[in-house]
Amino acid sequence: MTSALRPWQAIVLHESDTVATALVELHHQDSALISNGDLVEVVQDIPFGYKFALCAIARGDTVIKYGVPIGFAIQAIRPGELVHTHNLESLQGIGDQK
Amino acid sequence: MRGYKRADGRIGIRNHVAVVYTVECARFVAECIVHENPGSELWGFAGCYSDPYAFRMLVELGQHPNVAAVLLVSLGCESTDLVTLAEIIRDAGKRVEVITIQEVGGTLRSLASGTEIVRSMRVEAEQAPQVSITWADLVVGIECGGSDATSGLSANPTTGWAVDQLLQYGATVIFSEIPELLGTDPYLLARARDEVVRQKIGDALDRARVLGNALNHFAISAGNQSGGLTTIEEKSLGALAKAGSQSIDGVLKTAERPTRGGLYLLDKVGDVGGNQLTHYEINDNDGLVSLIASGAHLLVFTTGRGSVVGSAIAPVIKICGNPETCRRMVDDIDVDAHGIIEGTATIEQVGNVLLENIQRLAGGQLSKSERLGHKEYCIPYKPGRACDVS
Repeated sequence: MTSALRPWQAIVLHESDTVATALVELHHQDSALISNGDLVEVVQDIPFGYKFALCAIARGDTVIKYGVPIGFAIQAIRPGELVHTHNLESLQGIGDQK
Repeated sequence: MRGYKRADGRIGIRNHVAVVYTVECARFVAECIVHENPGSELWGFAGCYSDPYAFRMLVELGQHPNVAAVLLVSLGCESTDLVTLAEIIRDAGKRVEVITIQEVGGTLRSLASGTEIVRSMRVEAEQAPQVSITWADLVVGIECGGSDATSGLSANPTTGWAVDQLLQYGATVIFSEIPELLGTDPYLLARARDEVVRQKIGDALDRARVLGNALNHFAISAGNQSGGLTTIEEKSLGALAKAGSQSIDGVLKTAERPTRGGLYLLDKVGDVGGNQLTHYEINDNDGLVSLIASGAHLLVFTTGRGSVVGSAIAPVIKICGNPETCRRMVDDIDVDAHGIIEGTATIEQVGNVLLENIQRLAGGQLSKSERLGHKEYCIPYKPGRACDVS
C-alpha cells in the first residue's frame, strides 16, 4: 500500500513521541511505516488524521506528541491501538466536554 | 532586501499612499479616489462614534513604515477627532492631508481634490530614500486561519522552524491568538524570557480562559475531535508550533511595538471586567491588522482548509500543508508544504522555501495575495482595552 508519493503512512514529529498520526486510513493489522522509519502494526482501523500508540502506554501515563504531554491515558493502551477521547484525557481539565 | 527609510527612522518594505475614511459615510468617496489612483490603498473605520481602539488602529496603520503618506477622508460630523488624528500620524514625519466632504462641497469636489492630493503624494513617495535592509530590520507577524489536521503537522511546524531561523538572524517575530494557546500554559510559561514576561503571559491566559467561558467560545470542538484531535493541549500545541522553540522576549498589547529584536506574543484579549466582553478578534483580517498595528512589515499565514486573504498595508504569505487544498487553491498558496504530509519533503526544506519567500517579499516581489489584488483590512469596535489604550 506504499505509494511512490508517500513513503510512509504515519508521521511522528518528535523523537520522544509515543503516538503517531495516520496520514492515510489504516486498517486492522496493517503494518504502518512511520516517518521515523519504524514499522508498527495497527490493531484496529485508524482514520486519517487520528493517532495510534507507538508503544505500550500504561494507565495514568502521559501521552507524548510534539515532544510534550498532550494528556494522560485513562486506560492501558497497546502498541498500534487508536488513541483518542475514549482512552486519552486532557491534563488541563478544560474544554473537552464541549 | 531593500526598504524605504521613513523620516522617523523606521523602515518599510512597501511604499503605500493611503486613503483612509474616518466614517462609513465617507467610504465611497475614499474608494473613488483610490479607483482614480491605482497604487493607492484604502482602509478606514466605519463607526460614527469614536472608539479608542479604532482611533489607535488608524494612528498605527497611518504611521506604519510601509506607508509613505496618508489622505484622511472625513464626512465632517463624525465624532473621531480628525485634527488630532492627523497631527499624531504627522508626528511620524510623513505628509498627512485631510478632506472634509461637507466643507469641500460634496462627492465630485472631494474626488477632484483628493485625486490631486494623492497624485502629488505618489510623486513624493517615489522620492523616498531606498536603503538595503537586513533581517534585523524586519518585523514578521505570524497568523493561522482555516486550520485542520494537517496544520499542526506541516504548515505550523515549518513556520516555527523558519521563526527560529529568523530570530537567529536578528529579526523580530510576533505571534498571537492567545485563546488558541490555552492548554499549552506550562510550555508557554516556561518559554518566558523572565519573570515579568511570565506573569504577563499567565495574566493573558487567565483572561482568555474567563473570556472563553463567558462567551461560550472555547477550546476544542466536536469538529476538532472528529478530525482526530483529542485534547485542548494537543490542539493548542499544533497552533504553538508556528512560534518555533525560542524564548518569548516580551508580551505586547495590540498597537504596542517591540522595542528590539526577538520573539513577542501579542495579547489581544480585552479586559474581562465591566461587562465589556468582546471577541479577541472577529476574523483573520482583524488578526492581521492587529499584528500590522504592532509593526509587522509582512505576515506569514498558515492554513489547512485554505484562505485567500491579504492586506492593504502589509504583504501576506500563505503556507499550507493540506495536499488537497494546495491543489485546489494553487493560485493563493505561496508556500506548498504538502510534501511534508506526503513524505516527499522535510520541515527544514519547506522552511527554507518559506524563508526565501520572505526574503523576496522584503525585496519588493509581490506575494500571491498581492498579485491577485487582495487588500483586506478590518477595524471593528473593541471595548474593554483590547489594545494598548491609556
